[in-house]
Parts: sequence; C-alpha cells; structure tokens
Amino acid sequence: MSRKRTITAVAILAIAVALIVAGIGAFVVTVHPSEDPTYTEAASSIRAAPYTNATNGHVVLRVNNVSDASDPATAEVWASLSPHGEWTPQVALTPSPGEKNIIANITVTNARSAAVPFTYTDFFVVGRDGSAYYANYAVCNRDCSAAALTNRTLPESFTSDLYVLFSVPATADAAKLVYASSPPIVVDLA
Amino acid sequence: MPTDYHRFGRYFTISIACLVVLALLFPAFDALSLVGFVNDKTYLLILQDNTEIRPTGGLMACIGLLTVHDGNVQDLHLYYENNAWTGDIVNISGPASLTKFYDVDNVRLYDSNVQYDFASFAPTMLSNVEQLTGQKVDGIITVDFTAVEAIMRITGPISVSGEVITSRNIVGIAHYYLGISTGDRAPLINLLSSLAFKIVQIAHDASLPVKLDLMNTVQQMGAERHLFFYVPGDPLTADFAGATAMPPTDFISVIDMTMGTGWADFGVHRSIDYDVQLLANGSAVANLTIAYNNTCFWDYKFFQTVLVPPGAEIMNATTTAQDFNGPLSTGSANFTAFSTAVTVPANETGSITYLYTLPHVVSSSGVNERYDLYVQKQAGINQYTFNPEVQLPDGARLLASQNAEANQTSTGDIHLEAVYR
Repeated sequence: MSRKRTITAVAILAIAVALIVAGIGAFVVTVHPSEDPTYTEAASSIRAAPYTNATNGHVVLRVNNVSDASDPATAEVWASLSPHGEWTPQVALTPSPGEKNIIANITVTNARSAAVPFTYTDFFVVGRDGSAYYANYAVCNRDCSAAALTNRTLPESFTSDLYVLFSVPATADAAKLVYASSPPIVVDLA
Repeated sequence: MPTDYHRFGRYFTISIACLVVLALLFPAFDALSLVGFVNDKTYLLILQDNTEIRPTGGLMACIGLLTVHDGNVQDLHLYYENNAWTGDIVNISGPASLTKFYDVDNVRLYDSNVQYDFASFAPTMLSNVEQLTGQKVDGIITVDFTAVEAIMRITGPISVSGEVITSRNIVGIAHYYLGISTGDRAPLINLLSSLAFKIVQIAHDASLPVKLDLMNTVQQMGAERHLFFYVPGDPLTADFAGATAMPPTDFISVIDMTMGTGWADFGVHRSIDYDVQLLANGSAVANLTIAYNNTCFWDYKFFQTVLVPPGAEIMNATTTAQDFNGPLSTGSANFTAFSTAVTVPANETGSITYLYTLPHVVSSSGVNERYDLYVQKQAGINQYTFNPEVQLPDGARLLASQNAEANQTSTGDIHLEAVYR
C-alpha cells in the first residue's frame, strides 16, 4: 500500500471514529422532550384561592371543588351532565393505566356586558413538580354546553358550573389550577 | 497482498464512513425512508377510534390520503367517517359469522373493517378506495388512539389550532372536537390533519436517540396491534400487517364490535377465563368465559366473535349479560367461529360462556405430550386479564409449563404451553 493510500485510509478511519464518538456523546446528552409541558408562572398572573372569585376582566372564575373522578358523587354529577345524543361523545371516567382522572368544578361567569370568547381547553392543573396537565374534556348543563362548549362563547350574563376533566399521573397532586388567559388566573389548590 | 483486497478494504472503510456520516449528520434521513416509503407514494391513512372497538382496532373515524415523497409528507387530505366516498356503500363478502348473523352483505366504507384481522381487511379496503376515488394507493397506514398516545409520549406536547395537545388529553380533545363539529366535521378534521403533520415533522426533525425511541414505540405498538402497515409486496412491513395466526394447536381469538354504544371501550375491561380438560386421546373439552367489566355509566352493547380451532363443536353458550342473541357457529378449514350479541348494563359486569369440544390439540414431544394455547389480543384493545386452567388427562403428570398462572394481565398475545407425561 502506498504511503498516500495509507494516509487516506487512516484519515477516513479517524473521521469515522470521531463521528462515532461524537454520535455516542450526542446520544448520551440528548434531552428527550418532556411528556408534559413545564409551567412557568407569569408575573401578571391573578392569584386566587378556592371558593373565591377571581377575574381577568373577561370572565369570573370560582373553583368550588377538585376531586378524584372515582369519587361516587363526582362521577354521578359527571354522568348526569353527560349528553346522550347518538353522535355526542360520552367520556368514561376510567383512567388509563398509570393515570388518574380528576374533575374540577368551576363556576364560570361572564364579567362583561357583551359576549366573551371562552374555551375549557385553556384550563390546566399544575403538579407539585411544575408539570402542566391540560384539560381533557368538560361537561355542564344543556344551556351552558351550547354556549361555553359548543360555541366557545359566554353570552352576556352567563353564569354556570362547569366540570373539567384532567388526566394526570397516578402519583401527581394538583397544586394549582390555571386558566391560560391574558392575564392568567391561578388558583392555589394546596 | 492482492490488489482486490486493498480495494475491498478501502471501499469498506469508505462505506462505513459514509453510513456514519449519513446517520449522524443527516438525521433527516427519515426512518420512513428505511421502511419503503421512498419516492412518491400515496397511502391510505386511517385513524381507528379504539374507544369504539371494531375487529381491526376501532371505528374508522378519519380516513385520508397521504402523499409522501422520500419520507416527507407532501399532502394529507383527511375525511370524517361519513363524508364523501368514505360513506359510500361497499360490498362485504364475509366473514360469515357476521354476514349470516345479521344477514348483511354491504356496509358503508367506514364501517367495513369487519374482517377478523387487519391483514384480511386491508386488500379489500385498498381495492374499494381505489375504485371509489380513482386514486392509485400504494398501501395503508392505520393507527389507533393508543398508538397516538404512545407516540406523543415521545414527541411531547404539540400546539395545534390554539390547543395544547398531549398524550394525556388527545382522546378527550378529539372527542370534544367531534362533538362540536357538524356536517363535514371540519374543526375535527383540521385539528387531526395539523396534528398528523406536526407529529411527522417532529419525527423527521428529531435527534437520533428520539428517532430510535419513536421506532421502538412504533414497533411495540405494531406488536400490540395498535398500528398497522399494509404495503403489498413489501417484506419490510409484512410484520406490521396484523395477521391472526391460526396455528395447528389450541387458540382463542376474541373479536368484538360495539353496536352504537361508542366511546366506551376505554372503560370496559375484558377477562378471559379458560378451563380446558385435556383427554387421553388428545382431544379436549373447553369452557371459555369472556367477562366484560363495564365501568361506563351507559350500557355496552356489542357483537362478539370467538375464533377457536377448526372442528370445535359448541355444546352450550350462556350469558350473565342482557339481550343475548346467538350463538351462531360458522367456520372454515382454519378455524371455527362462535358469534353472539349481548348488552352489558352500565356499571356492571357481564359474561358470555362457551362450552365446546376440541378435536386433537395435543402433540407428542418424544415420550411426552405437549399442549400449546395461543391467546391473541384483539387489535385496539389495550389490555386484558387471562386466567387459564389446564386439566391434564387422568394419571398424567405435569413436567413443565409456561404462562399457565392465573390472572395474567397482558397487552399482547399469550402463548401457554404445558408438557406432561
């Protein structure tokens, strides 16, 4: 083998080894995406406690209760408010393996003298480790459902109880309930 | 040293280097390209809603055409189940356990996944879609919600249409959009289309370790029958076609189909109790009970088919559920099918029990006898409990067994074996 060929082969091998080492290094330090978003509280957040009204100027929220969906009374309310139309989904409360379902009972009121946009999917609960668990499904009575859920709008003078389902890890505790508006409303549950 | 050896060594070194460079510097060399998705291809993409179970996994809630170029998504058009051609009537030539039971021979396309497994259904679906759309289709990719959840556990949260979608809320959000959509269900379709695009994009742009995680997840979901590929003539995807094995031993394959009581199946847990008495001549008497714990607050009405070895003869079928209809016994050279329809009331457990005889199901293993049982999980079902009891012939002694313990919870198939003398 000529000297030139030897140098070429050694150079290629060196590059290959360097790339393999770099690849292993990248493999080791690669951060996998987190399954759940991490919550960072905005400085402008409006803080509130359960059983008290909190408003962002558009809606008034009052968290009445947060309970495990396996609680019979909670499950009974959920079932009674779940629609029974053929094409309207009824959502079972059985959690997936490794998870539990919790339900927040929230009184939602329109704070303005005009209709305001609203979506239950802006609710999330925050675990003690800072993970955010976004709302899964929601139910409320027929009039509330037509406005707040189907039309995603709260008419003037609207007020109703809303039941929002969250799926969280079985070991997680809900420390906060957040409505991701501008500004956000943060209810401390602990 | 011969010159050819030098040349081989050099090319070998260069090839290895090129592969390393490809793998490390071009992670966009997408995994899809490695499994046959090269050049321009059009695939039928089906989302099976496995909260509403069907033989191949779930209700075909969304059906679409996906155009791929070298692993990159070029175009995706999804349709809700009953829109345009997805709601057209198609002929079903079987299975007899269903067509005879309900005296039907045609259904809407989105309801046509009535075959016993995806592998049997896919060629007909491909042909039907090509006829209805005039579009040449290269294959079918289907996922259920369990597969989407598993993939999103790797990708992390995805923002779509102003919603933060995660592995934990995808099912609820999709059903919410279904509930608020009317007509062509545009909000639901737009949401799912955008989500599909973003998932593919994230997978495409992911680092190598994340891609490997995704590949492992896809493989696991395929093994657990939550994800299928059907690409005619492609050996690389053949393992993902979801064929039900019908070995020349004992087997059980329970195949359910909900009847208008949708979105229930994540709240229904199945248990299979199987008591088999092996006889000295190698035949057997089987007592199979399939119990459904319905934790939903509404009734669970379904049609059930159980596949067992050919030659099995039913002696009796009973139920603790309601509205019992059946059993009907049909079959072929490869299997016997028992079919029934029942309703399990809300918050109750109901069961169906079949008592039947089996022809010779024991094989000789030298001086020993060997009994094998394959329990095959239905596509779309997340997990089930299996509780076997194998009774040996009088005077026989058990030498070895595997997966014969009581109350096994499984997310996949189970192979029970017992060797005795």
